[in-house]
Amino acid sequence: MTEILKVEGLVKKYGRTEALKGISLTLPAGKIVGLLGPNGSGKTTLIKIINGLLTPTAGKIYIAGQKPGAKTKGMVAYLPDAIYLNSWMTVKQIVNYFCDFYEDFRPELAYQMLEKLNISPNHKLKTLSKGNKEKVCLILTMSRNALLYVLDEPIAGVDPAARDYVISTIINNYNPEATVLISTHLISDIEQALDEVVFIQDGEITLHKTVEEIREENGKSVDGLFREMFRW
Amino acid sequence: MFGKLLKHELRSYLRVLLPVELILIGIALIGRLVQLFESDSLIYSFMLTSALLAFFAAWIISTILIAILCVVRFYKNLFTGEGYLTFTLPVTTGQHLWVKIIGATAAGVISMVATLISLFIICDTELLIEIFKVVIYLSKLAMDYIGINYIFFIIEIVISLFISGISQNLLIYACIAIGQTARKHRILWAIGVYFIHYLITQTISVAFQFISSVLSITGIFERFADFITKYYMEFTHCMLTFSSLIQLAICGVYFIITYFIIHKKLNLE
Repeated sequence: MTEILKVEGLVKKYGRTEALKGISLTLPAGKIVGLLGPNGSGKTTLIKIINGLLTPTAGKIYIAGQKPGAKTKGMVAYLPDAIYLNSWMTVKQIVNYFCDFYEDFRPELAYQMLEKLNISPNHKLKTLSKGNKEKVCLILTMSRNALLYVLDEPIAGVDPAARDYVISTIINNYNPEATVLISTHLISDIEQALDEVVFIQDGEITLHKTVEEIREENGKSVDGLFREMFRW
Repeated sequence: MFGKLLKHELRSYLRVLLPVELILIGIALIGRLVQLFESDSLIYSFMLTSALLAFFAAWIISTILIAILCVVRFYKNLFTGEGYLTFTLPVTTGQHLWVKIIGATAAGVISMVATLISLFIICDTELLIEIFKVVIYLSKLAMDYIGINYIFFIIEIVISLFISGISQNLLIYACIAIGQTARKHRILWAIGVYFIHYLITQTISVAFQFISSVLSITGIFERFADFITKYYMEFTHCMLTFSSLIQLAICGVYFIITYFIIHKKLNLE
């Protein structure tokens, strides 16, 4: 099975605090993987390292067998947990920006999704509500035909009614040969879409199993197991 | 990819530059219009003085704004939320840095051209050309007297100023990048690094002045006086070229520091 993401002995220290304690992880192609853990467990740190926004203290990382660089950035579609787009740009200008830089970007798909959500391409980003801004970010990410999608809290900012749309957008628009890594707290909302889950706690991976294995071995849903493992 | 990155960088600069420079040219036009109603009246004098003051203020503000814009653009595009997009583009660190240098330099050149245009508008064009001719004539006379090729001299001065401008931008980029290696208060750290750099360069400069003063007392420079008088032209050209090369080397150091931190130590908050 093709490895899309391989992480070996990844360590990240912030001064004396160790955010990641030698994480090793391999993600195969064609899976939707949930990266689950409580606040401060190291999810966002790991995601930022995968995307080259943080420099690891130690360890190695490979995307489709290659070290992170300009080439691998063209293979990864990243959705951060914050609005990262220029607010003075119109939605159309942002779509054109993505078209310019990402060869795998599908503008027709982006416009189709924008129309479905009644977001005008002529609106400036700063005039949109927070929820709509997040939807635009998700649409831009999912409009790419990437090899690895890394989504940091994709449903946290949208209302419960829109969550189903967001989840269906993820499921229906990703390249089936690609891998989707989703970090979230809202497990019950996303559980139906997941193939595998990775539990992370205090900078260490405590569990990496398929959803089927969890249900068979533990007789619980992923949400149920998460609540049990991370109970205060 | 480099061309696309540059296109978006210039577009981002022009978004602010165009209105600022158009306002400057607009104020220059108003100043010129006022001059059409030339008279001995007090109102005319008041209007002309106000227009000239407004132009001067607009020129100062636009120059400061462009300088701030170059710094803010670098910081915001790379080290704030925008960095999440900038650093996930399939572009190399070197390309990012070169685009930032070219963008800021282009902004400086556009600002200078706009200033010249506005000067030609607000001033009496014929008078300005006459002043320009006199300056060139006097410079030529002085250069001929000293024995320096004035065309070379002007080219060398322009190149030196150009490199110096780039060097200033790169210094600020390097300070911002060093500030980013801190865990907290990153902007404050960047400002601190800038002042430390200023302190070091000033100390070195004072030390050189002190050493040369001491050496001049010993009469060591008198041995070279004949040589410098004899080869004044070559000496001046050599000194200017040498200073440009030193500036270029300093630019290289700032570039390497910034490149290294972005490439190897990037830690976006």
